[in-house]
Amino acid sequence: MSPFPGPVAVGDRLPTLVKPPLTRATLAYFCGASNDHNPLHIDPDAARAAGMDDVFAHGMLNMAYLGQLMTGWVPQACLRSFEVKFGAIVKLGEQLVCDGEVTDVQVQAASRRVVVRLVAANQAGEEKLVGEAVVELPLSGILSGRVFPNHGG
Amino acid sequence: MTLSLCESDPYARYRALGIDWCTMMHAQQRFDYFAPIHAGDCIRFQSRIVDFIQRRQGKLKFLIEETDAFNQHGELTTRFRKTIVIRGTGAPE
Repeated sequence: MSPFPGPVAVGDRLPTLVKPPLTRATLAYFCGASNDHNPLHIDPDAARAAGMDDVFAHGMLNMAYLGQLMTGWVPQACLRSFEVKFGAIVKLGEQLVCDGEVTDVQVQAASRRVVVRLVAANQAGEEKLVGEAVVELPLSGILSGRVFPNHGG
Repeated sequence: MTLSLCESDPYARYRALGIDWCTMMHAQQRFDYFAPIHAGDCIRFQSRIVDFIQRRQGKLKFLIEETDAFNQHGELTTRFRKTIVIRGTGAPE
């Protein structure tokens, strides 16, 4: 589990997460992992019949990489919301570069509510996904209690 | 974890609506987390279509679906909101 980050301020950037170039094998594995067997993602014939050049990544695979960026930064249980728009497909050979920037910090009675703007782009800098995550962190950077007030964990 | 992970055929409900899976694109996805899910929990999912919008004389359709996940204590743990774009022929629904 990721430790809690220390002080967090607007403008802070999360450590960039760079994924390997997309392969057909990854798409095949993700079909099984996600139970999404849409042929557009594994069968080049089906993809071409639908007017695409070739198979392309599942949106949820790309979103999962942004999820990795978040849970690499804060413990998973801190996440309150996570949202993305899928702007462009991710093609074979493309490499997702996942970045996040803190856009808002609200200090509340017992926690800090932090908003992170998320972007996943390819290696050429073309944006594929944009989104936002909200996390709730303890007031200090030190882990002192439960991150969900009414639940274990 | 989504409802579709547990279904033998997660596209069946779209087929039932007359939607071909090769015309569907995932446009937007949101998760709201209210309580953590732990190993051993038993999760019940409840899905509903919250909106269906047609644009350009039906050539583009937007289907918005929400799923709530409840644990064995009846607590809402997670809400999923999915927007799907369907490229159509312009045939009215």
